[in-house]
Amino acid sequence: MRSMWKKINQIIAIFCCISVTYMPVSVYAEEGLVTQVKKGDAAPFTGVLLSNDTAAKLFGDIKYSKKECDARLSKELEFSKIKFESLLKTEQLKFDVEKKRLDGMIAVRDDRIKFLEDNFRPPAWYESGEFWFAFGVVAGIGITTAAGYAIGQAK
Amino acid sequence: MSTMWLWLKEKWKITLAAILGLLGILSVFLRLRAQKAVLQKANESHEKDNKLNDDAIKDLSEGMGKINSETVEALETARVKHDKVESDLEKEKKEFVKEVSEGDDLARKLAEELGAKYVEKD
Repeated sequence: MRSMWKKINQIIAIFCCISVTYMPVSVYAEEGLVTQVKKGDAAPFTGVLLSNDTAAKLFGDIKYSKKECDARLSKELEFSKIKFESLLKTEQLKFDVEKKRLDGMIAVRDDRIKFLEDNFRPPAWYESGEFWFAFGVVAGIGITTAAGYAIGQAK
Repeated sequence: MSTMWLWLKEKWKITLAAILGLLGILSVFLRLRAQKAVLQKANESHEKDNKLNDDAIKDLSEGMGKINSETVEALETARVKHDKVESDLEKEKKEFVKEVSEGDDLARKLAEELGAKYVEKD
């Protein structure tokens, strides 16, 4: 009696193992079925029937979807790269032009400031040529007058 | 000469005024000359500033034009290249679809691609 129970238990255990191992596969297989039928043939299971062209198109779409997606991605990526490189170049150009302009303006300002600093105190009156010219004229008049006076006194 | 001296002695005020006037004129002249130099320098600086601004506008305009034409050219080249790639892919796909639709094992291939089970007919 005991050996019979043991035998039954063994059989149940083996059945369980087989069920656990193969059941998911068979369930999965039952979910996706494809077959080839011709007009007038009996359909082996319930489902959707596609014409050859439609099925081929579906197959082609599936097969080429990755390639098409990659091509589109590559195209968009290259376009974006060109656009952003252009924007970058534009900003760099603006920066360079503005830097050159401002450096030039700073140089002009520095030059002007130096000039104004130099001219803040104009040369002293006795350093100007005009003064010495006028002084010469006045001195000439004076000397001439003094000489005349001296000659007059001598006579 | 003595006549001149006599005249000077009599008209020393006029002589002094003439000398002072001459010095005054000299002072004004010197001042005006310094102001003229400052104004000339200001004008010169403004001209340089204007030239810098004009040069900047010209450089910016030329640079932008060059960048724009380069970008348009690059976009056109990329468009042509990718149009060809897409066209070639489309052609290849059409040929593939045609080839597959004409074959006998479309259902089997589709099953493999979908990960489904191919059911043989009885």
